[in-house]
Amino acid sequence: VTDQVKRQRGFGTHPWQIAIAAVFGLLVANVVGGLVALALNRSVHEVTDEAVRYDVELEDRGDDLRVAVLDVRHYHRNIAFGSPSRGAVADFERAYAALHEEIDDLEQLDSRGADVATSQELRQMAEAYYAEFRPAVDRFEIDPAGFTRASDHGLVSLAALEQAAAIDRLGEQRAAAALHKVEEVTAAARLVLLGVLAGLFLVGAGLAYAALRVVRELRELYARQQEAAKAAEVASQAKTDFIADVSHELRTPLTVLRGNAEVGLELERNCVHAPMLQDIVNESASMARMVEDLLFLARSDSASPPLELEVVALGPFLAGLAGRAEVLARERGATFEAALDGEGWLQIDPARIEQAVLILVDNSAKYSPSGGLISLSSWSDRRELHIQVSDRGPGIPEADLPHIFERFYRVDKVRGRKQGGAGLGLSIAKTTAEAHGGRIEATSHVGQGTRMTIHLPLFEASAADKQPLARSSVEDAR
Amino acid sequence: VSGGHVLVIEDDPKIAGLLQRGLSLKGLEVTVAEDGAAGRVAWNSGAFDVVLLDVMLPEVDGLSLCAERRATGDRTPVVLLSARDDDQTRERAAACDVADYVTKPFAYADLMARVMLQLAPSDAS
Repeated sequence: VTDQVKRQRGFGTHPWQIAIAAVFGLLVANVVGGLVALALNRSVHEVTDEAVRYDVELEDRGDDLRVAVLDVRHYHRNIAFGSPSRGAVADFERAYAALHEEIDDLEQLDSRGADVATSQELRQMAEAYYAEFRPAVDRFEIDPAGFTRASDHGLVSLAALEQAAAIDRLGEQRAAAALHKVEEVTAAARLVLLGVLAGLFLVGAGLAYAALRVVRELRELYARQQEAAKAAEVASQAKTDFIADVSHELRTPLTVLRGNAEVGLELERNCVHAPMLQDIVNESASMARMVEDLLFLARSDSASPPLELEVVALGPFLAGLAGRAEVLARERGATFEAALDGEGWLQIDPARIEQAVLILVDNSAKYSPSGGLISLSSWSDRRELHIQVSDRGPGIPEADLPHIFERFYRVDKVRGRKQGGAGLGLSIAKTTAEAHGGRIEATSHVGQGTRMTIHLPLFEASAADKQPLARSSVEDAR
Repeated sequence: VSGGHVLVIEDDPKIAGLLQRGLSLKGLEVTVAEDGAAGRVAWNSGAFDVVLLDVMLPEVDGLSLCAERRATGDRTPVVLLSARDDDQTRERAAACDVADYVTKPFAYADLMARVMLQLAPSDAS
């Protein structure tokens, strides 16, 4: 079934797996992209730097070389059109040496342009020129015609040399080559960046897919939970209805049972069957009480419990409550004291609230030693009335305290059963307090006793609402 | 306890049987009707000291029967037995002047005491 479900949903991977993979991929892509961009940047930078440096150097060298050639020609002309004086020849020698140095410098630079003269060629040209012109200068007076010939030829050679030394073109070529290289590297970088972008796009698409899957699954989950909640609600309602129906159906048979036993007892009080009939009367009576309790709880579950609300003044209500609590405590063999205080009005079902308080008194009496003291006290603040029942009984262990208001929960299983009662009392007291917009609290210390407090909201009505009630209660009191 | 005649109109034979037994034991004469129609016939035909009347009955419901009898001037004390304890039922019960109102499930002894109470004044007079 699980496989089928997985196949139906697609890849069989959970959205969180896709999401984690996508995020991890995003991180890796980021790191890789960053490194690649860094490397490309450095590479482009280097290539560009090299090209520019080379270009500048070539240009520098080319300029220097040409200046040197022009210098040589200048002094050549001084000699040729003036006279080969010692100073002019010395100047020429210095210029030629400078040209030689420039050619040597050029050699250090890598110049391998195909259509440009290399430094060796330039040197050969320079040396050939020097070798032809220099001896002619020395023989100027002996062979003026040969000097003129050598000088003219020398000027042509220098022109050729100047032509060859035009290294600007080499520089341009080199720069173009370098730029081409930069372009290549840039194109490669663009490709790589495109690749990284495509990767990022894929990762983004993965994340989007994962998000869609998550949303879909959440929606499905929500729908399933809604269904389950609805089913649970229906089931719970059915259970509650069932309990209510059963309780209701048990009422008449119990009445008949008890009534017949009572008729039997009345027929003949001293008959041997009397104790058995009395047992039937007692047990069916307690069973009838339990049925009523169950019915009350079941009805409280499905709707608000059936309350007959009245507005009552605290004084008379508390006095009546204390009276009945005292009777119950005495019946149970306990000592009773009451300290009643509180002012104001309550909107309550008096019978239900009384039942809840009497449940607390009954519980205290049940678990206290014979003759134990049970205290009923009450006080009010601005918003609430507090009714407290405390005893000096064995107390409730801390582990049990959170559960005592649960149905059929008993702290001391054996004793609880022996002393009667189904374990519904505190549950009913709690339901009753809450149905009145109040609450119930228990504090207990093992060996010291238990304190149960019912808090009820005071009824706040306009003076007009209270007036007739106030008057009637004063008249009642008189 | 001296005699008296009680009409029990109750469709549940077990409840009716219990009431008949208990009231007989008190020395009363008991007539049982199993539904509203039979109850009407019985109530029309004789004089009773008390009528024990169930509200939920087949044919004619208890409160309608009661109202019918009151319209003829019948003043027999009626003790109403009702499974329902709502305001509407209480109002209708008050409207046809019932002597007492007992909600089911009732305690047998309590119901007997209430019926005897209705018989007490007639005993005195």
